[in-house]
Amino acid sequence: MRKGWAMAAALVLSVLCSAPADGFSDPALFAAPAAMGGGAGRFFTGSPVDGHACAVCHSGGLAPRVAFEGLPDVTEPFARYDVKVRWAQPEVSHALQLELMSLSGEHPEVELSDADALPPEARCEGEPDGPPAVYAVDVGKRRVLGVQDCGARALSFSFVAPAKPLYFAASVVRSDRSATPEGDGVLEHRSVIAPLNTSFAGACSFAAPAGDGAGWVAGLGTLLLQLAFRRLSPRAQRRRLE
Amino acid sequence: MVKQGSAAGPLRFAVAAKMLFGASLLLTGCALPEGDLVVPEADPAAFELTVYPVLLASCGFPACHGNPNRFFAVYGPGRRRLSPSTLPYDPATPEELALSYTRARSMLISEEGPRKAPLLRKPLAVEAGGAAHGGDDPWGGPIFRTKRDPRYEALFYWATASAPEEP
Repeated sequence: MRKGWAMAAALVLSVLCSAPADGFSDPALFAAPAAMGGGAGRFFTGSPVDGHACAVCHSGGLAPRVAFEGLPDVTEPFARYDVKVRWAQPEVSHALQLELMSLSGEHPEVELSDADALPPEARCEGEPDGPPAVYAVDVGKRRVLGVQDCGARALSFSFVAPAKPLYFAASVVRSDRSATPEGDGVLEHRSVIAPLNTSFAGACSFAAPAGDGAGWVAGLGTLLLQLAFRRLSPRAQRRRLE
Repeated sequence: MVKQGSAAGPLRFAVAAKMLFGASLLLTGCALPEGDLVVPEADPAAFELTVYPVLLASCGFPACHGNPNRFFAVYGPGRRRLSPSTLPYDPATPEELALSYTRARSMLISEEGPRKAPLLRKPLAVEAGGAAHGGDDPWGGPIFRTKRDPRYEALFYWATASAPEEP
C-alpha cells in the first residue's frame, strides 16, 4: 500500500518536472513513425500539406535572419527560376526545410545543384571541400529541400514554373544548441507564386491534412486577396539581411 | 513502445494507468460524478497500438499538447518526455503510456456520451460536426477535416468501439 502511494507520488512529481523534448537532428526522422519519435511524414515546412511548421516545437529564441533571393511573386509559365536562400550568422546553428507545391499538392520541377557543383556556402562549415549540407527528400508528390545543421550559409535551387499557382513554404530554425527545442528561434515564410497572364477560376477550395498530401483546404479567398496585392500570408514572418 | 525485454511492461502500464487516473482526478479536484457521466472503458492495448501514435503525430508537439501545463498532455519519443533521464528517442516508457492514456481517456467524458467527447469533437472541423480548436494550422486547417480521416476513425473506434457515423 505504501509502495503504491509512493509510486503515485513519484509519478505526480515526474509530471511536474518533465524533461523537454529534443529536436530532429537527423532529417530521416521527419519520415519516421511518431511512435519512434519521428514526424510521421510531416516535414514542418509550413506548406498546406504540413500545416504547421517548426514553431510547433521550437520556440523562445532569436528568430533567424533569412533572405529569399530571386523568389518571384509572379512567374512566366515554363520559365526556370533560380532561388537562393541565405541566412545570417552561419556560425550559429541553423536548419531549414522548404518546398514548392501546386494546389493539388504536387511539386513543380525543382532541382538542386549537383553535389560536385555546390558552392562552398552550401557545404558544411562553408568549406570548398566540405560535404554537401543540402538535401532533397521525395515523398509521394512532394519534394522537400533542406539544409543540415553543419555550418552552411545558403541553399540554392531552381524550379520550372508551371502554368498554375504555386505555394512556397519555408521554415528555418536558429538553434541555441541546447539539444532542446526551447530557446530556438524560428522564421516561417509562406507565399503564393502566381503565373503571369493566366486566370485560375474562382473560389476552389483545397484541404491540407498534415502528413498525407491527399487534398487540402486553406483560406483561398484570403490568399487570393493577398496575391492581388502581392502580399504574403499574414502569418508569415519575414526577415531580410541588411 | 515498451522497452525490449521488459516482461512486466504491460502490467506496469496497466497498474500505472489506474494509479495515474486516480491521481489526475485528485489533482484536478474532480470526483467521479454521480449520475449519467461515466468514464468509457477505452481499451489500453488499443490505445497503445492505434491511438497513441495518432496523438504523438498530431497533438503532442511542445507548443500544443506536449506542453505539461495542459491537462491533456501527451508524452513520448521525439516529444515531451516524462523523466529527464529518458533519452529523446527512447521508446515510450510504461509511465508515459499510462499518463497519456489516462489523460486521453479523461477527454472521453461527456454528458452526451463518448461520441461527443472533447477528444473527438475538438480536433474535428466545425463543418464536419466538430468544435473550435486552437490547433488549427496557419492555413485554417483543423487536425481532422472529415470523419473519414483514418486518424479520426482510430480515435472514434477507441472511444466508442464503433465506426463513426456517416457525415
